[in-house]
Amino acid sequence: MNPEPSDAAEGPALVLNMGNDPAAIDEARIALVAFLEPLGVVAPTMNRVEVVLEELVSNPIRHGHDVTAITIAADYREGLIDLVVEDDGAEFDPLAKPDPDPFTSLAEAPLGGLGIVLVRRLTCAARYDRIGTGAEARNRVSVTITNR
Amino acid sequence: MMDMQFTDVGGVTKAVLVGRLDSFSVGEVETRFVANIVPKEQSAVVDLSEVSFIASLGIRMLIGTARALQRSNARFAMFGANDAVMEIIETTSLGEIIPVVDTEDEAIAAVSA
Repeated sequence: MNPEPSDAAEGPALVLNMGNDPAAIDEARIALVAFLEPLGVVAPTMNRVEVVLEELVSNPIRHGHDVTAITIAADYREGLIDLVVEDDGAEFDPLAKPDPDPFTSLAEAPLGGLGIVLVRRLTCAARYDRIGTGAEARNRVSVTITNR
Repeated sequence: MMDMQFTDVGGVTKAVLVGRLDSFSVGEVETRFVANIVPKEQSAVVDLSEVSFIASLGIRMLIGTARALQRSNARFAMFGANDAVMEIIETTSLGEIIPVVDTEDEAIAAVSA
């Protein structure tokens, strides 16, 4: 885990690089909370940020067997938190899958796909891009969360 | 890290979860959680008052356990969730299929009705 607070107005304010390591998710979370807390991010928003981070980072770790590197970038501007998670795994758009059908009973309830439901509903914007080419290709998920 | 305790309250299994129910913790505790509840084939209540965080894998563990109990005609309820955990329970619609109440007494009543 290498926090890299950037010194210029260019680029995100916080960049965290981690390997494909489940234990590193909590280190990333702690670093992100330490970055956002002094900026006035309120407790309910912080919980939403932590849940969204958890879902976006645990997804490539659990499913992306060829993922070796994950980068988390965060920024805060005018009441909005921008969070970007990139990985170097094979092309995969987690936002492509539709939400599970609504359910009214335990038997109908889905056991999968709830992470992306949380990402969609706890953010005000979420998009996927495949960036770069060849060995530099990355999956990038960018989300914005309102501080409220 | 997650800690768990299990007791029997008049024929209802009571599970107390303590800590963060994130993806890493769920991987560590899910088998023990299920193994202490499902084979007893009796209704269960879960105390969430000391759970500070939950994400999708934690929700999945709760749904899976409730569903397994249902096959034995046993019920499942939860109580004491803080605001942060409650928001995630509501966002995933979990509260529509598993009773989520304030107190242990209400949870016991919900599975005994």
